[in-house]
Amino acid sequence: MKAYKVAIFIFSIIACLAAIAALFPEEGITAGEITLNFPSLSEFTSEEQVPEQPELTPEELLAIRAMQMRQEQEEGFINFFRENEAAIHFPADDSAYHYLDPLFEALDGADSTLVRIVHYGDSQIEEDRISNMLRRRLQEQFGGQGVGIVPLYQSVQSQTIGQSCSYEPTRYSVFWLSSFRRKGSRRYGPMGQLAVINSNINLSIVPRTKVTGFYSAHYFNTLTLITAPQNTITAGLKGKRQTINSDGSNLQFTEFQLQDSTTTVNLSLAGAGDVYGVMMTGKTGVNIDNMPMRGCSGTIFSGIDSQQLKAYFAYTNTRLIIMQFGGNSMPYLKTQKAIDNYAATIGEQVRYMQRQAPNAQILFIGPSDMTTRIQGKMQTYTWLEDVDNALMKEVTDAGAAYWSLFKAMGGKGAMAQWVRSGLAGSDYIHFTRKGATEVGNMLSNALMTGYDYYKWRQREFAPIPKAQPQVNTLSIDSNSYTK
Amino acid sequence: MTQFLQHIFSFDPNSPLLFTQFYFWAFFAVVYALFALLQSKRLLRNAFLFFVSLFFYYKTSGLALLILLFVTLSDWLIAKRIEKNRDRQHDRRAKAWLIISVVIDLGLLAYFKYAYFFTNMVNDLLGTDMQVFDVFSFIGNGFTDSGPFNVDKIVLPVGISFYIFQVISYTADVYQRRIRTVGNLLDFGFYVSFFPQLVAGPIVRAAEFIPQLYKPFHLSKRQFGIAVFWILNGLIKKIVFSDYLAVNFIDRVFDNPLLFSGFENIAALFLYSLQVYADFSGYTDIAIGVAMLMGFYLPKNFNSPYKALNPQEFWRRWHMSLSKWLKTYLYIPLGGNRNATFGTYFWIITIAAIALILTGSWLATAIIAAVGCAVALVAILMPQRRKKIYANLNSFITMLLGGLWHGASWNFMIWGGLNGIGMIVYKLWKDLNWHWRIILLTLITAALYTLRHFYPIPVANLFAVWAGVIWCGTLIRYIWFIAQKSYTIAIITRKKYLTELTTKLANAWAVLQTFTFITFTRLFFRSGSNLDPATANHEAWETAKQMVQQIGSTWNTNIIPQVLIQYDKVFILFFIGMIIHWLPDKFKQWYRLNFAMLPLWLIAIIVIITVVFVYQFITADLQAFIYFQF
Repeated sequence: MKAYKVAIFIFSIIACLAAIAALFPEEGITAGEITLNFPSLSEFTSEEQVPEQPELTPEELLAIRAMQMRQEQEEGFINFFRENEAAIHFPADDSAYHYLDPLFEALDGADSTLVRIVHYGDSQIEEDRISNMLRRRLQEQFGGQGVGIVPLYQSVQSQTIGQSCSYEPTRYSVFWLSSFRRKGSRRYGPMGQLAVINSNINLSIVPRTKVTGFYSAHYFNTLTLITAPQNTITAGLKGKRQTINSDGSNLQFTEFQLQDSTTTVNLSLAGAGDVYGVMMTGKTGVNIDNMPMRGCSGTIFSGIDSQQLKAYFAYTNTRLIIMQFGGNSMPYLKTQKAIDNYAATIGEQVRYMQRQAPNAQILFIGPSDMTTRIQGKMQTYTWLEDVDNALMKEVTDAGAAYWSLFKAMGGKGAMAQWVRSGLAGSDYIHFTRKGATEVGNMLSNALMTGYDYYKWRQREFAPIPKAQPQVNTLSIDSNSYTK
Repeated sequence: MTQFLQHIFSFDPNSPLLFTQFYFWAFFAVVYALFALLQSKRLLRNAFLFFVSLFFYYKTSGLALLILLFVTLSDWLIAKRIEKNRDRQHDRRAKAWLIISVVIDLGLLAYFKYAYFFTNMVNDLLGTDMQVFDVFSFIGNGFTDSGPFNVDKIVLPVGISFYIFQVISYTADVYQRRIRTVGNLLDFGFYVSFFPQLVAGPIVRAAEFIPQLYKPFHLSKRQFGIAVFWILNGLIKKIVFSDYLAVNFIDRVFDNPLLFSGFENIAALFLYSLQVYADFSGYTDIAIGVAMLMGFYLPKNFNSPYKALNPQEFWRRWHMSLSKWLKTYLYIPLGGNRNATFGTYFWIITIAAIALILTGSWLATAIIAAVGCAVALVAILMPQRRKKIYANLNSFITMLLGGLWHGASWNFMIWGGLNGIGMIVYKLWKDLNWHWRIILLTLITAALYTLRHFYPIPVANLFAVWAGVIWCGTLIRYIWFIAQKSYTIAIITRKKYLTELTTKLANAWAVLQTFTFITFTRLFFRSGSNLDPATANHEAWETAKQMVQQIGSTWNTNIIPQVLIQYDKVFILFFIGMIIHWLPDKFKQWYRLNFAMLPLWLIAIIVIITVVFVYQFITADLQAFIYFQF
């Protein structure tokens, strides 16, 4: 075959394809459930239409964010709170930005007591991601030990501690598939999940340091077992065994006092009953619970027994509840009505948690940017920005604070860039560990800017009126065992 | 207009010329039109293709073009020195020139590809915290005031591993007198940089390609049809079976294995086996097709590798151009299957020492030392086995270094090592009789189940289950072997159809075992791919560990049907891909030839339909993210 014939063949093919491109409808040809697409001629001839995305790379953006925070502090905290996209949005009725003061006051007093921050979230916070960085920062500044509460059986290992059980106990969860629900009971405990044991089970806990390196969270001197009141459980630690009391309260807290340098522990449980979790803490300082709820969109809290939540928040002196949800709803929110309904449900959940933890402030973190393929290009979900705005309005109207992760990470199209920079995975939804560290850092910075403002006001102006903590009237049993 | 021209002729790292993009085909159409005008004048044709290839490489890699030009020039000059010295019987001088050339070539490869790997290794060994520093960027910055190059990062030039191996093959072939040197630098430059195979192979050995430089253009109608077939075949493989599966399932799992169940993790591994094959072989299919349209023949690079009956055969079917290169320029110089050379001992001792120091484990040291002593003892006491030991050592080193060629992290070394072990185990297994096979396998399986009983760690679970499956298959084959000793059964089984059936069953079992083994080794291959070289070692190892953790832990079997239903398109594509892969060669040849014989207008219609078809996969909606594991 002559070469010129081959050249004609190639050009003919290109001409045919160009003709198809010229004639092909832009919205594609739909036949039943299938839509055929083909690029239009203008896509070849004009400059490629890049989906909306920040001009800066995430690295540049992160660096600028940090610098901006420093500058904004100098120029005035108020401007920062009002204008910066990485700042926490305060409740609608808090024009003076004082909402988090009770938390900051508690943190200042953490040298003599335990202060708890509970971080609920979807799979973005699995493996102790984001929480880990916040914990590290706060424990460095205010002291404290331990990782807080963990479930008896951990299906996704944390990057901070390793857990292994001698067998997988029966588990129930309020946030997972309906087959995991517990019929006729809302007593899922503070984590929204529980393990039911009916024979001997051993739990061993070891530090995991490869990612995080050794830090305060790996050490603890108090181990607290949290169980249901009606049980026949006996717990053994370091060769000594004791029976857990059952006194009819909503949660049974059983404390074991250990050496200050403890990082590894083997707990054996016998008998039968519900176990809500195991808590590792120091005696003072900050404690941050990482409570991932895979697949959850944050609408399940009212499905947890209110007395149990109250008992937990009161016993642990919880002063901040972080709720980080929204990503799992994104693919299903496709109308303004659906968005409004979802935001309203979240508003109700926030109010519900406010009632259960009257001493705690609430910070809701909205969905990150999430990208999907729209007409062949990776773009932010069409409704994501609307969801973020609707959530912010509902949450702040409900009297809680809101942090827009979507805006903080760069807004529309940011996720595609984070993926390219190795800060997010190729599902265009989840952060990598590196990305989660950056988000944790940014969140800590946003929070601590509020703290700086609080301290600045303390120095410069009149003292802050002290929040009046409610008297804890719950009956809490505490078995103490000192090694 | 200026902007348009700038867009066409300038280097943009975000838009390289890839076979799967329209711009490449527009580029190729223009190149081919000019080629059609020039093809009758051989030197002009070669020079034209050389400059076009340089432009192609510049669009893909920017200033790394200078490296390509440098090795082209240095090897062309050195090969001339080698030939001159060989002709004058100055063999030592010729050898010295060969060594200089290999040192330059491998030095460049080591610098650009392995700088991070070596730096990490030194830091691990000495506890230092050294960082890489790009000398070339530093020098480049010296020429300007603005300092445009980043000295803290060494960027890997695209395709460097391929063209460095090509130039080494040229000087080595000249030294071995397999070919004469190429007189004209433009001809030689064309051989090194021929754009269809420049960035992803196949690795064309000098002896195979250089004679084609001097032949006039010739393309029969059938060859034309075959070339178009390869291009379409490659496009479908790359876009449908590779990119679609990767984006919608595989990448997600490998990026974050802990988010997925054991079943999803193992499915991702098997799917990855298809993906990596479709990706790599798809790209080389297109390269072969494009080259063939210009009248050049590139060697076949893949021969349905997952049809392999054992790991040894796999490597004769997978990335064949690399396997042949390694055999010719590494395995045989090491001594091949005849003896051990200085190189054999050097590499074995070096690799073992580095591995031991890095593990920092006395147990590992003891195990490696014990294996080393046992092998040495057998070699001393049983001279008849010595050759086999040498051959195994040489092939193991070849596999390890071949692994490292694929990427600069320990994962690729482990991957290569596992393949080496697979080949050696297969060779040893082949030499055993059926009684020994079943005894040995029973012992290994029992040991693994005991280990699993006392230490129920995921990796022990994984190996125990795998050993259990192999043991069951081997037991059935063993029973068959014993049964055939019975006269009556032997009479029955001699019937032709039964013999054919049992042979087919045995082959299918061997294919599945090999496929599973190769898939398992991919765990280390994939998790080391596409990583920032600065953190590749750590990340790759973590990913592999997390996947083993998920696969080796208890599975929630209830979710398997849900996973299959939700990812139905992904799994259907996988099964279609594997079925096509396992179609008999004769059948594939039959439809390929029939395609080639079709009239031109029909081929054109098929091309257009195929383009529209694959475009649907490029624009297909992403699979929604679904969680199955609690």
